[in-house]
Amino acid sequence: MEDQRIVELFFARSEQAVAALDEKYGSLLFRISDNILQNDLDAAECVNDTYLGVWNAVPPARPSPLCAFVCRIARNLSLKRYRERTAQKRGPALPLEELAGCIPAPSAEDVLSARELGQAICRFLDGLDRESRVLFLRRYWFSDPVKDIAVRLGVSENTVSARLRRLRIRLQQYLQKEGFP
Amino acid sequence: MNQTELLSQALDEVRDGQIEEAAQYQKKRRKPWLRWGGLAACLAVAAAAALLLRPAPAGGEPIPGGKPVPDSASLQAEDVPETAQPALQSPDPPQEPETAVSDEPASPIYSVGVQWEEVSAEDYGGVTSEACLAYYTPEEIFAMDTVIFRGIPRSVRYFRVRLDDMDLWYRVFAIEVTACYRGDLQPGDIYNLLCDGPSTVSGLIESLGTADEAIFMPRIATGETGFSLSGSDSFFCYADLAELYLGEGIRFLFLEEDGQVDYARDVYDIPAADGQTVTLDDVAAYIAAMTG
Repeated sequence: MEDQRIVELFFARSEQAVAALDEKYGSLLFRISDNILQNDLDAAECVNDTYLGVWNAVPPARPSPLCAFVCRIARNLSLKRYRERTAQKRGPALPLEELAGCIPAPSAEDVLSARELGQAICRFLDGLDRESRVLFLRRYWFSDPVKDIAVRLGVSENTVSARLRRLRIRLQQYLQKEGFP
Repeated sequence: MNQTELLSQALDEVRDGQIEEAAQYQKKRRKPWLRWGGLAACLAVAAAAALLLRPAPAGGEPIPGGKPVPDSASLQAEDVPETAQPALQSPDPPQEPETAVSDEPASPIYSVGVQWEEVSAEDYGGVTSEACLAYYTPEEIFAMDTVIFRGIPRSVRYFRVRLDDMDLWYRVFAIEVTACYRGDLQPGDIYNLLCDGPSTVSGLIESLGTADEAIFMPRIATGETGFSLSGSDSFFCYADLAELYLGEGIRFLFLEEDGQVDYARDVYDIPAADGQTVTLDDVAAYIAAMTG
């Protein structure tokens, strides 16, 4: 079912809306959540929370593209749960942490820095070829395991690792050039 | 805030388009048989010869009492070449769409796991179903991705579509375009418009007859527009039967009957040029004003 139709179902407050959303994006959302939480039950709960979030947000929101909208909710909920969990005990490391060496230490102006840093990363991604951009985002936005990315791109895991390493170096150089210390 | 949180927040700035691209990207794998080059070509020739020599297949599982379904109806979505898009989807629409002078439905190439048959008006057994309308303002309706045209239905055909164990009913109107207000439809051309079976939102579709003039606001049917059931891989693609589809006939249709135009008066406030009766010309002027 096309996204606009699903959104219309949400506007009609039809229970089919959630079923249609689950059918189209359920596996993608579960993967995002499970990549972060590494726990099927927690991931399933996060996906359900995502549906509730979409139900509450639409209407009035009319998301377009719907895919990015639901992915953002799932990711944010999963990261929130991840932080709650890791506040109590150390959990599995996020792929995101591989990027730590590319960025400066957080300053007192963290919120501003995060936005500026994000916009710089966006520009960096714009300058990449499509496959490199997908590779970067699948690893650091979707938190995909290297082996899953390798399958998606039809290359070996070693190739993925090597390309990610080169991308991190390029990002670090780009950020330095953009004025990030 | 530690570095992970900073990165997490920073990546929130990634644009929707970039996320969607990454979500949907799947590198096409080279098919293994391509590596076999000449041998594959020989096998293909042999297979083609075998097909030519055997009796013509019935083509899918026929619906009892119905006509056979073309083989292509069972094609998988991934088998459809990227270039196989309806004429209206082409970035550079041809001057004369393939269907421009025909009222035949498009070949079934997008649907998966469905069967359909054309039925007579007498056998058309659509059962009125319940549906709900989402509220839209006129501005929201005109902002939707629809084509808008004036036309006259020249014929109507009835279809029963079987999706898994469910029968779905559709009508396909062959409509001659007399004027196009939005989109690339050419006056004089005929386009197939698919409408859902009777439902509580069918509205004026139920009154639409051949030779009635109306203004239509349908969506363009693409390889992704269609109907599927939750938990099923089967998919009925509207583009297999028509170039355009109209799921609701209350707010997306302005029908002239007996010198008067019937439309959703509670939604649209259309002024009449003579101050009394709204005509299709008045509707056209209203649409022009709304769509800029």
